[in-house]
Order: sequence, then structure tokens, then C-alpha cells
Amino acid sequence: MPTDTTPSARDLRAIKEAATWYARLSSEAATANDRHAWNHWLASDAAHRAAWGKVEQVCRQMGRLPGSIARPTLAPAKASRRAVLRNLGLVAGAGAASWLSWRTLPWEGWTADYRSTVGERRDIQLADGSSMLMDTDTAVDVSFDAQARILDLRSGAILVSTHPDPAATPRPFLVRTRQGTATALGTRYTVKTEDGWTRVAVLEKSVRIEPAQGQGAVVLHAGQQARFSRDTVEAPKPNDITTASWTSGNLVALDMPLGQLAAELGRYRRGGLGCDADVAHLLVSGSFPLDNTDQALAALTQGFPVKTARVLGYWTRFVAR
Amino acid sequence: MSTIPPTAASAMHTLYSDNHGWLLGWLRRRVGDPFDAADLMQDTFVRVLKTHTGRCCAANADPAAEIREPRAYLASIAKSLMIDFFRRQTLERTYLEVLAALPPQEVPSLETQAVLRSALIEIDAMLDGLGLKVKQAFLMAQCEGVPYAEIARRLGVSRRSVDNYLARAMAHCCLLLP
Repeated sequence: MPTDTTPSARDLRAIKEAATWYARLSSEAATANDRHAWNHWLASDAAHRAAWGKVEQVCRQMGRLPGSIARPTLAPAKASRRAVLRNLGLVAGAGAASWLSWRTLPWEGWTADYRSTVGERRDIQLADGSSMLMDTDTAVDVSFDAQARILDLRSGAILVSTHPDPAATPRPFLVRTRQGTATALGTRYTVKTEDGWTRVAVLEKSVRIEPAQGQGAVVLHAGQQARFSRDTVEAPKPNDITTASWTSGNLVALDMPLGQLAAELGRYRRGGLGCDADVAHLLVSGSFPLDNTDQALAALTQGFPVKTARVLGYWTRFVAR
Repeated sequence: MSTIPPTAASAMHTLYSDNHGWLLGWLRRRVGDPFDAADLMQDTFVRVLKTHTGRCCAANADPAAEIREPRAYLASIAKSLMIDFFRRQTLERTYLEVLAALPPQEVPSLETQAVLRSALIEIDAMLDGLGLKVKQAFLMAQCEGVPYAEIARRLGVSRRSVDNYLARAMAHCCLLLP
């Protein structure tokens, strides 16, 4: 079948078996018996030998990368760049959070168990093996008890990577905001507080959203995001390139109005970042580092017809050039 | 490589000459950097050419004539190339950070760095779609030779999960090979 490039069921099965052999034989616990059994498997079918040839080819490919570089670059511990980018639907100007709305009820942040400062992202390991990456200026109370694992998100945004519960009776894992709860169904997801809304974006598996005064729950699946208030859940949309790019330390924008980009970047800068109305509609695209917003500003002023102006102290604005 | 019939070639030429200035401006406004924009424009037309030489020539159809809304069509291709481009930029930045953090004696020569860069791009694409833990386990085992027991400990999962992760990652990669 020269025109058909999709593997047959037999080839597929052979590849799965070869991959299982690979996993078994690469282990430090592999025994002579394992190798013997593998030899037998290999000799018994030409499809097995072809599949094993592919395993070796993949190993050669991977062998081009030294260990000190491979993992930190391709799977940085903090978050998967790729998980963010995997499920792009094309750009939807994801409802901008007005930057003025960031610090509602500031005292609530101080009572939280964990707090990140402006410009900081913190990785927190939780008692059950789950982890939480906190975005800039974020406050979270953690309370685990016999019934549930609860994160109260007071302000800001978090990426949650849940871990199966080590407790004898598995407890639900949920993130609570003023608007309601987002319960993990075995998963990675981000939760962000916006003015009067909570936005949930699911990167893996699924999450159940329940508004505080809601009529029923909505389940979001990988690649979807939705915003909810105390009583309504908006229709889910596909994740866009921007949704969770912060988790990898970058703000990725595709055709984002400059005003919105300024608001987003401003969350990572002391003193804030504003934008004149006559340039706020300019559509900009790029990947901007969050740990060095000066560099992001420099890239924007080089590439687009704007410059920055210091207004007062740290307060910076984009104005027309 | 298939060849393009003369009529199709001239239609493609018209598509290019009518739209390349517009597309360059369109990309320039989005990407900022003029050189990046020019590269992306070139890639866009190459993609159009490849798509249509492959598909249409057997029927001897005129590929460019089939494109009803050339600008919307070009923009949609350019957009997907832009996404790849930003992805690559992000990868590039991570790579530079990793290099900067290496102890001096481990920093590869500039020549090796260039080779590594292209290997990273290919392998990054190959691993795309795997979960974070699966990727981490695979890279630890394959590139660093970390024992499974240690991988299980670092990722906070069972030994059996490590086995599953590695088998899954390997099957995924094998299926992507030509």
C-alpha cells in the first residue's frame, strides 16, 4: 500500500509493544530474563523488528541533546510551555482585566497563607504532592482537611497541577474564588480573578465549575476556558495563545490591542503601566519576557510606532511616537 | 518535487506580485521586526506553493485561481506561521537562559550551540502533545540516565507510572517518524 502512510493496526500494535519493551529494558531493574524475552519478541515477527528500528531511531535523535540542556529547555520544571500552546484556538481578545481593578480589598492579600509580590512568580509544593504556580501579585489561602483540599484564591492567578490524593479516602481538590469553585477532575488548570469574574482555563483533563449562587455546574475540558460570575458561567471558548503563557514566564500576544497588553504587563511592574487612548487600539504580537518587563517595553518601542513616557515616578505610559 | 504547469506558475506569480507588499505590511505591523516579517512572508508563499503543487497539479487545475479570497487565505497561513515563530522564540529564550546558567566548563562551543539549537527545535516538535511529567520522565531517563526509582521520587509518582510515561512517550515519538 504505497499511497497510504497511516500505519496498519498490526504496525500500531508492534509500535506499542516496542515502546513497552523500551520502557522495561531502559530501567535499572531490567533483568537478563527481560532481555531474553525481548530477543524472543524481536525474532518472532518482521513487524516487531521494524518497530524496534523506530525506537532506535528515536533514541539516536534524542542522543543529540546533552542532559544538562534537554530537560531544562524542553520541559522546564515550572510549567510546560507547550501545554499552554497546544490547544490554541485563534486569538480571541480574552476579556481584558482593567489594571485598575487589581487590588480590590488589599487587606485580604495579607491574611493569605501565600502571597507573591508584584513581578514575582512563586512555585509552591503543597502537602499532598500537588503544586501551585502563583502569578504576580497573588494571594492564596491553603486549607487541607479530612474532607477536602481547598485553595482560596483571594487575588491574582494560579496554575494548579494536581496530584492524586495520598489520603486513604481521596479528597476533592478545589479552587475557590468570590464567584464560586473550580474542582479538579485530575488535572492542570489556571484560575484567574478578574473584576467581578473568575476565569478558568484547562490545560489537561477537566475541571468542574460551580458558581456560588449557581444553578448547576459546567465541566470544562482540556483546551477550553470560561469566565464565571457568582451566578452565571459564560459559554466555553477555546484557549488562546495568551491564556496561560504567563506560566512559562512569557506573555505571548497575537494581535492584542496595545492597551490590553499594557494592562497585562503592568501587573508585573511596580508603579504600573498605562497607555494613551490614541495608541491603545494598535494590534501587537510577540513573546514578551515577564521577568524583565523593561526588555518587553524596549521590544515594543522598537517594533511599533510608540515610545514610553515616564509620567510620575515609576508610572510609565505608552504614547504615540 | 512536482513541477508546476505554466499557467499555474503564472497565477502563482500574480498572487505574489499582487499581495506581497500588502502581506509584508500586515506582518510588519504584527511582528514589529522588519527582517522577521520578511522571513515570515517568504515562508507564507512557500507554504502556498507547496500546498498547491501537491494537491492540484494532477487535475491540471490552476491553483492560484482557486483561491477566492487571496488576502484572507494568505493571512490565515501567515497567522499559523506566526504562532510557530513565537513558539520558537520562547524556546530560544529558555535555551539561552539554560546556557547562561551552565557552569563555564559545560558551556558548548558556538558551533555546537548552533547544532543543538536545531536539534532542540526538532525534538521540541516531536514531544509536543505529551504531558509535562511524561516529557520530564522521558528526558530524565533518555538524556540524563536517571534511574526510574529516582525519576519516580522526583516527580512524586509510582514506579509503574514512570514505566507508563516512558512507553507512552516512546510510542508517541515512533508514530511521528516517517
